[in-house]
Amino acid sequence: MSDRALERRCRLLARAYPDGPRAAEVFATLMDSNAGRSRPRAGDAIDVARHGLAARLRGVAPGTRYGRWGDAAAVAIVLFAVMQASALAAIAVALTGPGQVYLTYFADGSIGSYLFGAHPAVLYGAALLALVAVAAATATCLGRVRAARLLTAPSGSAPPAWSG
Amino acid sequence: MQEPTFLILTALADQARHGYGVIQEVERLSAGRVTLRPGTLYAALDRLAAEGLVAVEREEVVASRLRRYYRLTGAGSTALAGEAKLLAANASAARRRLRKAGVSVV
Repeated sequence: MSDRALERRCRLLARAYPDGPRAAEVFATLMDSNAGRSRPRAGDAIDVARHGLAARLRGVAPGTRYGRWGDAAAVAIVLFAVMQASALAAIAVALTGPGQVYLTYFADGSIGSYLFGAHPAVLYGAALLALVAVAAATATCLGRVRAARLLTAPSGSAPPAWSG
Repeated sequence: MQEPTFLILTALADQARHGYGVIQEVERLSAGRVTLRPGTLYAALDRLAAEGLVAVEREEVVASRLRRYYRLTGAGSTALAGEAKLLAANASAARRRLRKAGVSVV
C-alpha cells in the first residue's frame, strides 16, 4: 500500500517535467531516493516541481541545456499564482458568505485579504481551487494545453507516458 | 567549479552511473555532507552534457523504471583532473601557511 502510494505521488510529481524520457528518469530516481516511505521528502518534491516547471517553461526537450531564466520564470509564476489564489479565496468566501470578510489593498496596489470568522476548511478549499484555476489558466496562456488539461483532470489519471 | 559539480564528475570518473547511483556516490564521497535532489541533479547533468563533460552511455528499463547511465567524456576527465590538481595545490598552500603560523594541520 505504501509502495503504491509512493508510486502514485512520484508519478504525479514527475509530471512537472514534459512527457518523455526525462520525466520517466525523474520518476525512477524519486522512487529510489524515497524507498520505504509513503511519500517523497518535501525537499525532493519542491526541487522536482521547480526544475520540472522550469523545463516546461523553457519548452526544451529533455536532455538539453536550460539556464536561470526558466527557474526565475517558474518561481515568479508560482508566487503570482499564490498571491492570486489568496485574493480569489477572499472573494470566494465573501461571495459565499460563511464568515465576515475584510478586503484591504496593500500599498503596492495588489489585493491583500484579512479573513476572520471563516471556517478554515472553506478558506483552504477555496484557496486550493483558486490556485489550481490560476495555474491552469497560466498553462493555457503559455500554450501548455496538456499541462492545463492535467491540472483540470481528476487526480490519479494517466501517469507520464514513456515507452522504450 | 562548484563543489556539487566536482563531486558529480568524481562520481562518474570510474564508471557510468544512473541518476540515483550518482546521488548515492556523491553522498558517499562527501561523507554525507552533500545530498543532491533529483531535479538539481538532472539540471546539473544537462548543463555538463551541454558542455561536453558527460554523456549518456546507455539506457535500461528495470522493473518498468527507466535508468539512464551517464559517463564522463574525455573532456570531462581532463576538466576533473585539472580541478583536482588546482584544489590539491590550494590545499597544500593553505597547509604550508597554517604550519608557518604554528597551527597544527592533520
